[in-house]
Amino acid sequence: MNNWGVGTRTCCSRMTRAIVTLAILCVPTAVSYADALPAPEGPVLLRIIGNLSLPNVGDELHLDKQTLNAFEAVSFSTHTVQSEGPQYFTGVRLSELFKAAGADPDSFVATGIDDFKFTVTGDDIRKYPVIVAYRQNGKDMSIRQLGPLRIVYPFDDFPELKTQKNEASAVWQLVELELQ
Amino acid sequence: MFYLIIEIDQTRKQLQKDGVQEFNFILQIDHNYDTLAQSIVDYLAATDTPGKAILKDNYILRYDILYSSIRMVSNAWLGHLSELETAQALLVDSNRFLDEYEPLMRPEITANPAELDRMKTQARSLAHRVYEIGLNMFEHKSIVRDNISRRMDDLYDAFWIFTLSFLLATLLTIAFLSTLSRRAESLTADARQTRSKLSTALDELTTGDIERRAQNRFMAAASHDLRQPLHALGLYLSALKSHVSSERGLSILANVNRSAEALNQLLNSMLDLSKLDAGVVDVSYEQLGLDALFEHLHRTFQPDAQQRALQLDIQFSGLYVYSDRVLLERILGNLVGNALTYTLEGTITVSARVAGSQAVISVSDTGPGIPLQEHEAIFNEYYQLQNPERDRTKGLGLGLSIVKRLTRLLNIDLNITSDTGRGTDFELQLRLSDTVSETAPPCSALDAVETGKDPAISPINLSGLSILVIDDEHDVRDGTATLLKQQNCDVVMADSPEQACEHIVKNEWIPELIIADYRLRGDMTGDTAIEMVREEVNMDIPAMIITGDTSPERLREATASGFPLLHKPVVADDLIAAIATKRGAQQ
Repeated sequence: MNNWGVGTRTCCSRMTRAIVTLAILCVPTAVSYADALPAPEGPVLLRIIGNLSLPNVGDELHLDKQTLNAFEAVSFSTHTVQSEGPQYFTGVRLSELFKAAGADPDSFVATGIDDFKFTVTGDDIRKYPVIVAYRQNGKDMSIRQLGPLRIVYPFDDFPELKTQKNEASAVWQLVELELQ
Repeated sequence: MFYLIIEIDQTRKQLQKDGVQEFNFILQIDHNYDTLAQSIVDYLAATDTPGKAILKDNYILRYDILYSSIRMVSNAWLGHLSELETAQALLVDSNRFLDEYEPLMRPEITANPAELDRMKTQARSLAHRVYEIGLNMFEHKSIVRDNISRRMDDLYDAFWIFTLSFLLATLLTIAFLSTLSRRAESLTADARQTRSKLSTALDELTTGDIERRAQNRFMAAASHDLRQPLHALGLYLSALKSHVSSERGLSILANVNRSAEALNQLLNSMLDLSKLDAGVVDVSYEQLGLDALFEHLHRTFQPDAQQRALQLDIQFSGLYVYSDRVLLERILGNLVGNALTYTLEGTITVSARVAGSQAVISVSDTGPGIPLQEHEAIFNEYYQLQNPERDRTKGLGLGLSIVKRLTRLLNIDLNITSDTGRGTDFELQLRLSDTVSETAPPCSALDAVETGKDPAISPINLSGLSILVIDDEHDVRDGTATLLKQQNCDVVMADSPEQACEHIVKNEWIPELIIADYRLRGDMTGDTAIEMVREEVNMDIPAMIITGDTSPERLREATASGFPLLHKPVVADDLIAAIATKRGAQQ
């Protein structure tokens, strides 16, 4: 399973955290993480901001490469609009990221490094294994290759996902997720 | 209209083809070029080394971003924009730009500011071109949108025109159909009317109704005129009697008289029948005392009964009914007359009784009776039982048909109880009069003067009586005068009251009796004539009226005049008897 490591904690916040955890546990939305993710040590690849309850930097959740790799890896192969032939992507399920952030948003704004913003709505994120990919064909993605992170839909596995909206939601060069 | 819809749909699809993706992509490329240019500017403007290092990283980043968007994305995201010449040119130039400056975009190289500046300028111009494309696309979309709205407007107009014309057409069709149906209805109604008229006409033709009605109308109108000659005939025959001495002559004369009598009866019956059929019989209801009616019957038929050696039993009841006097008399008269004719021996009984709110008058005889199967037939015209040789002394067979019509006219129920060998009983049901007025209705003048061969009257002697006869018919005048002159009366004839007065004045002659016809020339009535003469002489000379009219209205008028009434044709003896009575009453 996952290994968060211990990290530094303050004593009084443990109490608050316990209460908060209990409260959160009562909510049917299955948020099962008791602690927030550790603060990033390497360069931040993804910022999750907005309506979340488990931040690790201020009231934002920052993730580096290490943190992302610690999540359960989800992989699949799919065609994309940008490339020829099927591509093999590996990444973290978006729904897992939200759980780690202590949130269950109905919509969020995905921002790319080129300042492109798109509001993603709907239930597909919850129902399907839509990932934030960090590896394409076993290799890291450069900016020129539309990385280092990009949202990828399993279009091949689930053809019903292939809508214009979802194609626009597959934001590349992902830097930020603003939860609402 | 459908053509418009199809066109709009096509345009809409076309609009969709220029999707959000393409537009966003164009915007993004434009943004990427701009940010690259800006990052170079920022770098060139920076002076401190650490700042410059960061800015250098930045412009390399921006170059990478641009690179990815041109190389990785364009083919997919341009969509149908790639057909545009400007877009194709832009792609080519972008790729060339990327290739040209790629060597410069390495972290380990320190780029020449002049070259960077050139790069920046080129980036800016390419950005501008992208912007132009975007603008065109936008304009194009706007044009398309305007097109669509215009088409939509046209569509709305077309729709309204279509709907209105459809409604109009429907209304017109409805109006047209309703006019048609109305016309059809009226035609059908006309057809039905015509058909019913036709069938009525056919019925009338086949049943002879038309003829009969024409005949009836003729008869009813001719009634008065037909009676005049008969009346004169009777009078002349009477006058003739005294001039015939031989036995043979007298017997022949008696036959002639009988024939005249038969002719009389025939005429009367036929005229009655036709009047009834023509519906010209006026009915006037009044309270009637049955006793008075019965008394009249008795007086009329007693002599006849005696002659035939039959008993005429009239029973008085003291009842009052509500009916027409003249017509009811006729009904009863016909029934009694029939009974007398057909009964060979025994009694004819006339009685009345109460049954609930009705009075029931019964005329029964002990005659041979009427077989059950003949009960309906006997009411037919000219139908007679036991008279195969058509013996005219037995009447014409019209009596009962007249009775049938009269009872129907007066709403009287007529029932017959009879069978072979059991005698006959006719029963009339009519309305009882509810209140009995104090003053009993005056006895009809008919009663006073009708045939009363009362054996008690002494032999008539009219000699020397001066009688004035006023009648506009020459023959009648002459006939009456002849008859009366035979009785040694002093008779003066006049055709009008004026002539009479002239004579009176000229000769200073005053009549002791005036006999006037009811209908005189120039709408003059008999009673008026009598009054005129009376005034002339200034005396209330006794008078009587003879009338050929049998219409009930005339009868009533004449009766109302107050003078005793005789009916033409008058049997000579009756006339003489009446005069005698009058004279006797005066004396």
